[in-house]
Amino acid sequence: MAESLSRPDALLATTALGRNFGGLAAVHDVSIRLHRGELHAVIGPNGAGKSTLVNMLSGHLAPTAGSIWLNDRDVTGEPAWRMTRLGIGRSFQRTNLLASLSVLENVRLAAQGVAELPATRLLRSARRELTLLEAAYEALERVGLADAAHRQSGVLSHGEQRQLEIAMALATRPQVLLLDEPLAGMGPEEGERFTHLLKDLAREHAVLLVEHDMDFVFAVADRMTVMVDGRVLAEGLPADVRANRQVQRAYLGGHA
Amino acid sequence: MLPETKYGWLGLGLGALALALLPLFVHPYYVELGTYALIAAMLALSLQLLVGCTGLVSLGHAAFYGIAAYTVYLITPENKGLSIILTLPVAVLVAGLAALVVGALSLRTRGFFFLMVTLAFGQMVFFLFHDTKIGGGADGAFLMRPALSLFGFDLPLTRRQRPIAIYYVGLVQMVLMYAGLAFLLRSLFGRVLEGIRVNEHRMQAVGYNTYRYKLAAFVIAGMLAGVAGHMWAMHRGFVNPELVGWHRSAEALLMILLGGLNTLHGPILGALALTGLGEVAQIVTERKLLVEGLVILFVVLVLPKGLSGLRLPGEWRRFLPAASKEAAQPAAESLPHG
Amino acid sequence: MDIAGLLAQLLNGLQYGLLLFLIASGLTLVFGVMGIINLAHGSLFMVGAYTAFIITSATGSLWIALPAGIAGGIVLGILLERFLFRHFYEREHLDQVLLTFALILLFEEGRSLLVGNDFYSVPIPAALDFSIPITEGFSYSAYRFAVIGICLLVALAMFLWIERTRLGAKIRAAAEKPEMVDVLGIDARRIHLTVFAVGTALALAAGVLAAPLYSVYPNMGDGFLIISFVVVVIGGLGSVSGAFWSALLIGLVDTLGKAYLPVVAGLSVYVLMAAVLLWRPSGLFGARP
Repeated sequence: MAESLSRPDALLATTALGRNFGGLAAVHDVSIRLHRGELHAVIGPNGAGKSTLVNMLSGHLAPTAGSIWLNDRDVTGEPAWRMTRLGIGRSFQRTNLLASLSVLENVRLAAQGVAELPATRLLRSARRELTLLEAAYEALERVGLADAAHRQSGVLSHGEQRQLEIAMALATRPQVLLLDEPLAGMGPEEGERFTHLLKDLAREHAVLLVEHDMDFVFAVADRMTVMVDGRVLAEGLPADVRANRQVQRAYLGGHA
Repeated sequence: MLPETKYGWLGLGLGALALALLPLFVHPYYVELGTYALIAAMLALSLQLLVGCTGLVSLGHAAFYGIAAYTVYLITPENKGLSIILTLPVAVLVAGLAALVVGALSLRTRGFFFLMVTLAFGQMVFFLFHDTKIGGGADGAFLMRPALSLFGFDLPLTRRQRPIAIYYVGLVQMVLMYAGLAFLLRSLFGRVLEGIRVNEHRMQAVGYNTYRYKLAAFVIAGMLAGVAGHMWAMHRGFVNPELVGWHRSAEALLMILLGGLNTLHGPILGALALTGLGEVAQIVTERKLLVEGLVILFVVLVLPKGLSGLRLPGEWRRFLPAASKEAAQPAAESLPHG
Repeated sequence: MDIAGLLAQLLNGLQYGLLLFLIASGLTLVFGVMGIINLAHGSLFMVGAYTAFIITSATGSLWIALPAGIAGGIVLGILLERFLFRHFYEREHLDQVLLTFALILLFEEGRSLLVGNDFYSVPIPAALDFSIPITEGFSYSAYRFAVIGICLLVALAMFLWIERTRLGAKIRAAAEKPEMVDVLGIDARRIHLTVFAVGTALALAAGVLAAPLYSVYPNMGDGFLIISFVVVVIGGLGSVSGAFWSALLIGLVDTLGKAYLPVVAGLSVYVLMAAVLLWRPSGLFGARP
């Protein structure tokens, strides 16, 4: 296909990916390609299978059909912890933090998760392991949460928790970032700060973004995929997708 | 889990001192009772690594405790006790191996299933000793107690001194166990266990193969239970299937709850309290189990945070280990400062 | 091959399994719907057995004991739910384990105070105290047949209730998705009470039926309790049909094991459980993945 010839190889790609629940196909025949430096948005109505797709890509759900490739390596069905170690990081739609622990500890643990320390090293006191602390602070500064490092993560504001989610994903040194509705519940000011952060991140990583806020999506996305009823309805540049009649009818409605 | 202030550590130190001075001031009966309490405390401490630290509620933990005691019985010849230098490592190793096997299978399950699987494995061990002749069957068996000797050199102890020496052996083991666990909790490994307890799903998402960490904790806890079981063999000189029964496991859980689920010293408090309570109850009534049942009911209904959770008026709180202060403010659990 | 012996053991296994089903179905429903781990369920079985003993000693008839056990079970279940368990739905497993462990101790002590610690036997009702000849060389206890029959009727009744009635449908939904219970609103209270009452009554009924077969003795609940949990684990939490098939499986494995391989008899059930969990960590008919 002309497309794949003109762009570098995909960092993360799926081939006819699918997931059945009982008799219901939540995701069917989805082929998607993510490239470094590109922000790829996935949009669609509720129940379109977007979250299921993200769960499969991050290893929390095993596909029942198709395959997932990371840099020419077949990673279909690998468990979540291995996907993370291979370079697929994600943030969660519903708050999924280590709520009783401090902000710093959340990110430090995330950094430790991919550090691959030998067993003997694990017996060392945690506060002496400076590399991990540095990595944690780095991630916190990137998202703008460094000042809140010692606060309990469970009492952060909603927007701050979303920032923490990103920081944790970053601390795992991903090549691919899967962001599942990161804007949900954010106010307009936080949302703007977030847009800058996102564009920044998209430069170094391959970012997959699932979102409902259409203005935001069209502002930041380099490519888009529209899902309806578990299938891909359209895929391509945002302008093309916006102009697509089928998409307008099925989903965009008044946003065109 | 650990005291967060100087006062907390001071309190612990005073407690340890009090325990160390006990034999000098009380009747030998209470020294022996104290040793039983220390053994119970060690069993509860070992279980706390699973329950309070990692969030794994196991109903079969006493199995490793009993296996260690039975191991001592099985390797000890008929007429002479072996040296503790030999019996302790062997007993702990066997308990650890058993924990490895049971853990590898049980940790494939979670929550309620894990509870049931550990219960069932505990029962398997129970039937192993109850229905076969391995350890004297249902009636149990006496054994020659491990001796306090080093390379053939026996510690010269009179009959009056022996119980006191045994008590100190137990106390030293318990203090070392506490110190070891404290060290473990502060380590990178211990932090992972805490993360697993708080949100295992998230820990997997950031790259941890949580099964391996839980298994490691399970084996360590099993080995520590083995230390307690070995001490039992040393003190009591008798083994029977009750040692591995689920009632014993449930009692260990009770001690943890009684003393406080979220502190490391809680189980020790709980064990001491329960042993003391048992003694007091016996004065009043022969129905020890009835009292135990009522105590558990009371604790579960009225003191959900255990003794560590009892609140004192503001000023007094300064003098308590951090756990009771925790109940007042949601302090962030973070790396220890300073 | 001793065919008569084998047949007898198969029937024994069937009878044991069906009694286990009575106990386990209450257990699995209570956990499935309310999330309560009730270790004291075995004590309820014990209460039923001792009720049979007391009533039979006083009146000479087991047939009075059975309805008395069921009625008593319903009342006891309502009281337990209303005053105790209702406060524990949101509590940690540890708290539930300890609470129900305390209940076990209290039930046992209560029994000890009322009736003492001796072994007692309960006579089989005179009307059923004979053997029914099946084949030339083989006849089987009429009472055991009756137990099998009664348990099958109960199983059928439960099936109809859960699959065919409105309340049953709600209970089924609640067992599969406890979050649904909030949606059901006021009905939630009714469902909890019903499930608890039914579960308790079943356990007591099983105890009454079992008394002539196993005698009554201290801590008799323990053995049945733990095996019931194995049944629930293998059958899958919240699944009554799962409990049925796994109870039969366990009944047969345990009985045949004890008859033909006595050395490993006690272990066989747990080995089976370990095997099932290795293959299917949420049970054979598990509702949740």
